[in-house]
Amino acid sequence: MTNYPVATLQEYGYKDYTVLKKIWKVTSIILVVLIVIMLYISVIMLAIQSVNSSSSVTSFGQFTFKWYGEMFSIRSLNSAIRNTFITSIVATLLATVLGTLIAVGLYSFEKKTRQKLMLFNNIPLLNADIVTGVSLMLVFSLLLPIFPYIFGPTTLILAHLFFTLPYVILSVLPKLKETDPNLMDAALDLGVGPYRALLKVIVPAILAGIFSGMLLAFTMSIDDFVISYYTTGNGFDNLSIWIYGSIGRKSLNPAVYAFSTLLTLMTMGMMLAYQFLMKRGKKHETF
Amino acid sequence: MKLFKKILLVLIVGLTPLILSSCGMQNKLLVLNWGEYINDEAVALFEEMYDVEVSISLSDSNELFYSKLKSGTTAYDLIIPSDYMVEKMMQKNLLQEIDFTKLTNWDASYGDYENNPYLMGLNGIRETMAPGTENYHVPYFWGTFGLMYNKLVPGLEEALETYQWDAYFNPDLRPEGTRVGMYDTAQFAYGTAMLYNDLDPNVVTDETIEIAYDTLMGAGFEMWGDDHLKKAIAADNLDLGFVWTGDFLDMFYVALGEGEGYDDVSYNIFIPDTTFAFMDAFVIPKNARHVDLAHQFIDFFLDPDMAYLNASVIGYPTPLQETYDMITDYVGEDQWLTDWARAYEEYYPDTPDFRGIPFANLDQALIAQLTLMVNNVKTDS
Repeated sequence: MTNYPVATLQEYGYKDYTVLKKIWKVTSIILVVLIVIMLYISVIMLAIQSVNSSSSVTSFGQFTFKWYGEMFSIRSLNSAIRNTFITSIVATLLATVLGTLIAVGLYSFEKKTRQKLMLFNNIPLLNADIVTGVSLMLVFSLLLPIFPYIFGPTTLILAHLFFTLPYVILSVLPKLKETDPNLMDAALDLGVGPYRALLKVIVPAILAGIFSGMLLAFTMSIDDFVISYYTTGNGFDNLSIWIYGSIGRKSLNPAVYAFSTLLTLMTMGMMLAYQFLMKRGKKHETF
Repeated sequence: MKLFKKILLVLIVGLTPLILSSCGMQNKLLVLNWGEYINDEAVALFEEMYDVEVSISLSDSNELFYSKLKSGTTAYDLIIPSDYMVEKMMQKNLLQEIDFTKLTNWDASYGDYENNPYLMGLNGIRETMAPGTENYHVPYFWGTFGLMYNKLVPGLEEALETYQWDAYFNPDLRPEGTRVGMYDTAQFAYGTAMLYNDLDPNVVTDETIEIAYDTLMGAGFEMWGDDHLKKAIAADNLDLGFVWTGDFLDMFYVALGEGEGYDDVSYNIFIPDTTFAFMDAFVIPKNARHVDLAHQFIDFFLDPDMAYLNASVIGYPTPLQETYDMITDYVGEDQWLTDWARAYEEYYPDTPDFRGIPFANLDQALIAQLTLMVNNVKTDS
């Protein structure tokens, strides 16, 4: 028996990549961390500034929560925050109710007709904000001779309704497609009226879609600037308009950072809730 | 059908207050102002006194004041633009005359300079405005530009006091090695160069551009910046620069608030006898709906005590002689009020030889020419 040398793995053509793989793993982690930092550095800076006792952005005084208290004591900022919430909540609620009804109505059309109609729904979504804002302003201006004070909460809420409605429709429609097409007929057969059937049978089946549409509409509405800027008036300013107006001669009051931080946290919370609802909706399918 | 009616009811209930709310505008004064430019306390007092609501919207530039006034979506009752914009609005027939008989606190007899209730510093600004403008506006606040300098450079303060603009533009007249900076706005650079040459800063011709180029080249600027200038001087990285007095005071008051003594701060500002200035003034637009209320609002802020209350939170100086005297005459224990009185007296001169000139609203083409000239200075030096 001759002692043949045992062939090593390398001789079989195996290449040892373990070191490279490790390096790659480390670099990929570093890259991901870097990307996440780059994405969120502005938000983090904002949060840091909101607890900075000095109003200068270049130096950090002490840790403080005073700006969080101050944002409600500055009169115009306080009313701007209030206006923002009034507008967003009313517009979101209206958009949710109307959007759900419209989506149900759209769903009852033939597929072809529905697709054509959906095009009309999508155009306001894709249209540039500035075009929407200016055109809405022109439309509302036509009403000025009849209602001299029309600009303000009314127009602002209508404008917000205009651009949040498509989002609600878009998130409700897919949910409707998932429901059994015979659901409505079954409910009617069992003896409820059509409107009651809608409320008791269809709406619960698409609830997750309605909620996610509502959250989406709210997040879109609360941070809007361009459309609001053109469609409000008579002193009814929302927060973004207030910020835009106040960065003239003086530097921004840090209370704005405090509110922005809160707003970011709120939006994040809502997006998490949205994800959660979507997941829960998916789970329900399996039953 | 019941449910449908319910939904309809909800919608109607939701929309009615909105439409009704726009009818409740009868007692609402619509003001368009700069950001952080009024004391909220004083506004609350006004609301209480006249049982009305005051709604204040913000604008960040004179051009925005103009476009908001023209767009017509809101009929503002009172707006507060600056000098040249008041003139422009008046010439475009957008304003209505102010009825001075309705202003009980407007007292033309107060003060000793030509029966003017306003500070002398304001006269230079008002004289440059088109005739007739004085019937359309009531001054609200004003301010100046000055030369901020580093107190750590020996001899610089004396040089400025002796030579004024000449020390800024002529390297031979200031201590050797002084690092000088200029505000990075073409019109500011051009205007100051014109003041140095005793020319009208608001007239632009090919020859004056040539002169400005030579002057700016000869001044030996090391830094062009805006907000950086004051920070660089405070940090001892620069010795002299052209800045807004209000900007300087913001920083100065913060330093005082942090416990530094008035004379221990390492920087100061020198206001030349002839310098640039601005003035913001109340004007009433032609389509205002609450003209009487707007007059009452102006009158309220002409009350020396109210003007004092207002000036105490705004960094800019009051135009009213009586309020100015109230501030500067302070004698007492309070450190802040003492410092405030001193700052007012030193930085907002109330002497006949002081002259403030507002920047004119130059044509875009001229601005472009000036910008080109300034860019040439930056690359050539």
